[in-house]
Amino acid sequence: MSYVDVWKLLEWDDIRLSIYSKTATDVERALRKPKRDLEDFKALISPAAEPYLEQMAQQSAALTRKRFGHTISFYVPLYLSNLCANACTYCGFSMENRIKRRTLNTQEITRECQAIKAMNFDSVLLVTGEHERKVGMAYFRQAVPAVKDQFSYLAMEVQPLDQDEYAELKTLGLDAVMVYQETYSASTYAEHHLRGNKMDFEYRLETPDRLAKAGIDKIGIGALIGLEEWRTDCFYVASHLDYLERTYWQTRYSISFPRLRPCEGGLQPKSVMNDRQLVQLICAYRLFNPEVELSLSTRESPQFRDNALPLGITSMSAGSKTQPGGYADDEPELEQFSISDERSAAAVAEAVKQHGFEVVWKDWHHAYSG
Amino acid sequence: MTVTTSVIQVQVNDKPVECPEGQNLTALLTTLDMPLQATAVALNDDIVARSDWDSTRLNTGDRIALFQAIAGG
Amino acid sequence: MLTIADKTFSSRLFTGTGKYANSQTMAESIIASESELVTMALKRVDIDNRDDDILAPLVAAGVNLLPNTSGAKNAKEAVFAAKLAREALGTNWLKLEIHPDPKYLMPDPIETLVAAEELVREGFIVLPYCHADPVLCKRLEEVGCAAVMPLGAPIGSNKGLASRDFLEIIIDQARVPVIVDAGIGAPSHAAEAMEMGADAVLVNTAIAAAADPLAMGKAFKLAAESGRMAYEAGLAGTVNHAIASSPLTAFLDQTV
Repeated sequence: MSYVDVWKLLEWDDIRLSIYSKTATDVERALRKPKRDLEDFKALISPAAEPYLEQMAQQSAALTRKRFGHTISFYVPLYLSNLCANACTYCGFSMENRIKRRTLNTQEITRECQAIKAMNFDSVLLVTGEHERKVGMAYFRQAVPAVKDQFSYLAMEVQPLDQDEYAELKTLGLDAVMVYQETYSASTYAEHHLRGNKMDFEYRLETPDRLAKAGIDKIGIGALIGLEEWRTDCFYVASHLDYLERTYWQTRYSISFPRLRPCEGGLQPKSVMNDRQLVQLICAYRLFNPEVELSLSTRESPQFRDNALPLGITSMSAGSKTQPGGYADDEPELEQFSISDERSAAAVAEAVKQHGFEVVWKDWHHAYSG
Repeated sequence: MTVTTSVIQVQVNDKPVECPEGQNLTALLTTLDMPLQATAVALNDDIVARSDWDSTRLNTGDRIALFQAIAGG
Repeated sequence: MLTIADKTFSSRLFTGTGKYANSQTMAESIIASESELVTMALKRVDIDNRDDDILAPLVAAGVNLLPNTSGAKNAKEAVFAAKLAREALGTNWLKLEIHPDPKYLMPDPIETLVAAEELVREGFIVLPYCHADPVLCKRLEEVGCAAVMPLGAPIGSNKGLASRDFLEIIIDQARVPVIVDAGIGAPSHAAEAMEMGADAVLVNTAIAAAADPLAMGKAFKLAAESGRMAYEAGLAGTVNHAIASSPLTAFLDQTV
């Protein structure tokens, strides 16, 4: 049993219609309820909720304060490799793109870690393309302990792995894994994933189940907003979260909402989500689930990040470089996607403080991992 | 020639009871006027399945515990 | 319709058979309540002093039997009682209850979990009675119990849903039916439990000890039904007061 079985019972078009049929009354009822379910989530992400944005923001902010206080966790992505055996239409690392490929060796990883430490970070997200052969378990077995040696919390965003591989990496220090389904529509997924293992929709969809069974502390899910009709895709994310929380009740969860950004490849989003709608989505997730980590990356502009921060966000990256080796030497040509918030980590930390929040650089100690 | 069946002493719910030697559980329950439905039997602390009552024969000193459903929450 | 393991119920009111003046009143009250699942205990027969036969009228009414293990003080005794009950009544359904504390009848969480795991392995359909401890309920679910039965308040206290905050969490997290058992003293308590999203309620003392048990049985039937209808109709909820502050979304009106 996995989320795949739940997903198979959901009908994309029915859900889309259901979301668009939600009325102001549905939204008002959802806002009044102390505990919201997936139907309420639909109402909150529907067009009918747009006039209620300020009210949603007020409640979302209050809920987040209650659970998280005035704290924001900072993390930084560390790109280890841009080698990739997939061809995804929206990504700078697609194997079809002629870019300089680079995989960091141990020395280079160490240099990156030093640069990152100088920025004050203690929570790192290792990112690679998806290349099973050249950047697979053998590489991870070296890289994970090497990085974990330097930092308290280690997350990964790489190709989906098997359950026993995750279990092994956990013993080497892996704390969290981000795996975004990109889109929960299988047909659209097939249009954008043209070569490589990533074509396997169901294996990817089942990954959070394998992660939870392997005992990984935190699992990050999300859709790449813009590949498909965003409200429907985001509903699937909420449904995925709901299933995971009920089934693997001892695991923590995180949601991200990357909006399609320009990259070497130039894909136009099928569905455009404007800033108001992103705020609506963030608030809807928070109103639906007061405990989930909501993470906002540097894809969004400084102005948006600073203002959206109090509304429900609990985790942010800053000073990010999306190319391997980017912290030690900055080479723009290798970027996975161009970032919008180019401020340094220190500058973002200062802005966060100005808004009345405390930056949490470290919220874990290796002693807790046993 | 007369055949006499000897009588043995067993305990039923800690009370001494006499019964013919080699009598089976079903017969004992019938003698005690216990409903055969809705009764459970343990012999020397082991539960005896209903299907085995006919074939379970009693010996001297056997401790039989009889249980039935009663009112409860 | 409520499905638990291999059975489906149209009534979400389960009842107990204890504390009635006599078995006739018991049977009539239960029939008036339209309850389809009824608990009973198992006891050593006093050969010289037989108890009322409670079963005949219940079986005639067609209700499902749920024997309990009350009297058991630990897992070993509960497992033994369960097997006796299975033999006696021919059902593998079981209400697992272990209360070593004879004063407050609080259920022992550790013995209950141990017994549940073994009984599930032995093929029982286990409905464990436990405290409203959300983690315990998840553990019981994980070892294979068909439902969980957290208490509303101490047995026989009629205090209602003293544990409501925890019942909410349990209901939110459960992947098996949640039956609120113990402490329900009035139909309004039963309705409240159902409005919260409980799948069923189990009521004994409140009906048996009422001045008119038949009428009370009917009252509980209506309460369980109305509570469930309200839950399914989607309660309006109270107004959540937002913290007054400056507008949080004004920044979206500024064009960048």
